[in-house]
Amino acid sequence: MVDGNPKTLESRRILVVEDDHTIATNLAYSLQKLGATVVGPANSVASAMLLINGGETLDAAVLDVHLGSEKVFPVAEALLTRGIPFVFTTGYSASSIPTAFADQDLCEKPIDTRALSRMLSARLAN
Amino acid sequence: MHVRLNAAWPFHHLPVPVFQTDGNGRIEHVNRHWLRLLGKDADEVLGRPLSSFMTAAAARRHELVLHELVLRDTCGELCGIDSEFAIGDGGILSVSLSYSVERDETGAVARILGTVIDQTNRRAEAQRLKTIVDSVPQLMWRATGDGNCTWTNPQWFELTGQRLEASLGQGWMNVVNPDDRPNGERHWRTALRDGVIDFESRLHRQADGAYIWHRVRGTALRNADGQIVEWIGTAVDIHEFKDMQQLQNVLLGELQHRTRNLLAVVQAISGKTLRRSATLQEFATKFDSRLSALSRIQGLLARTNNDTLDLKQLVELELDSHIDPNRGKVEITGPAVGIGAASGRTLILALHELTTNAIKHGALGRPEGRLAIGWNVVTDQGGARQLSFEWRESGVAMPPDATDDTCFGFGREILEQTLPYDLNGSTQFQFGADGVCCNIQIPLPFVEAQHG
Repeated sequence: MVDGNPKTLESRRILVVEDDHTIATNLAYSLQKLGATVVGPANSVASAMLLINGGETLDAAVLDVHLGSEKVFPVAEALLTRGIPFVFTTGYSASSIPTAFADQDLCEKPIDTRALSRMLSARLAN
Repeated sequence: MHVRLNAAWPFHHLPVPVFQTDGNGRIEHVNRHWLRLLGKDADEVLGRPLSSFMTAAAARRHELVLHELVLRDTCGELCGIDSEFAIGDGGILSVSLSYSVERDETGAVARILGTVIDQTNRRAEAQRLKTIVDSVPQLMWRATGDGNCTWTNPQWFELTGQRLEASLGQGWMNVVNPDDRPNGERHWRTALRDGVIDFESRLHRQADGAYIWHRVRGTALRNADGQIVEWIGTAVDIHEFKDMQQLQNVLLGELQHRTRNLLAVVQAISGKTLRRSATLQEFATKFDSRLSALSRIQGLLARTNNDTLDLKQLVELELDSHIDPNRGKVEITGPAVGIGAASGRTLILALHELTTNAIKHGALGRPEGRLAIGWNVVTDQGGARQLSFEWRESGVAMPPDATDDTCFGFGREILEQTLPYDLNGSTQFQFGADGVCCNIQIPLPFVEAQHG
């Protein structure tokens, strides 16, 4: 539980890309408890790209790797180009992520909110 | 006429079959071992050409050998010549002949001495070994100490279409997948040092041009000094094994992913249930009930083998776990529709909320209440197929607080937010005059979502 944690993500705008609504909304709740404003959640590459290209201010993102039959990597590419930090989440092993993103953090499911918050804070601090 | 053997012949008492011919190959002496081996009497053989007792092919070879011996300047010797004697009724005796030539003072061939060694057993053994080598499913090979191929068995040719001569030296490399050659060469380099070789490589199959995974293994034969003088090895088809191994890795990854994802869903449901529960008791009851619904779909999935669930089975599974199916309160009608695993999980959670709410507040909680569940597959003008699902309760005088979010909160979130989000569908949820009515539209075929 995140209750009592400092608001480590205070006033940060964080994009959530996750195709499972139950997981997405629970993750959104956890991020909000840390002070963040959640953008999304988006359940597909297309809907995530709409948010990224639609002029939303984004400080960071949490990206589920497998979205239905597609993968989130085009979104990751777009965020890299814009210099927006992100953390991958997946139920698969780290080997499911292309080497081009080897430098990125990976948070295995089920998400440990504290670990995710530490990864996001570290990325945001740089 | 009975001719006795000449016991004064110096080789008469040698304990091996021995013969002596004149310079033209006519038999002058044989010993009793020779007679016994060929099953002849002395009077049948003395004075006759040795070759006359041989099979035709062996006789020709014998003449060539004599010719060779006679041409040599000094006393000549030839050892271990394969030959065959015709014995009995069409029988053939396989032997190994050794010849030694004695010349007179003018240099002419005075006589030829020879021994006969019965090779019947050895040839039969060799034939058995050849049969084994020819019939094992493995490819077999031999190579020189430094790794140059000297022999491949017929199975090599059958698979690769490469003839024995073409496989010799480094020729066999030509049927190895070019991508695997550097690895093979690397293994050979260390093998020449270590004396064992074991690596995997794809060999070209002539029949269809496919490259088939093989495991190549070999053992070094060493001489007394420990130097490798020869390699003997096999290549075993492991293609199916590799395929299975790969499939197993995929399945293990998938299992791992599904387990993690399921835990993530449980984690999320726990959080959501907790936030909507006034007491720990309420949390315990509701969380336990939702976890049971997840278990049911998991159980149903375990009993199917293609990851597809039947919608009717899914609906009945959920209802039957809450109410007596024989009470006639519930009517279920609809055609067979296949539901993907991940979609099934969202659907059963929705059905679970509808069912538990109907027991607590609606048609399943009172004698006069009725529930009609029905669905159809409809096709729109664009040809897109869609599942139209209806849950209609009747005979229920709705309590004034029924629309209160605390009663239907999580259920409505599942129906009105989760279903559209996860399954790309739409939901209309209404409190009618005599009960809840819920319509759900979901595009078909269900995109079998790989939630990650």
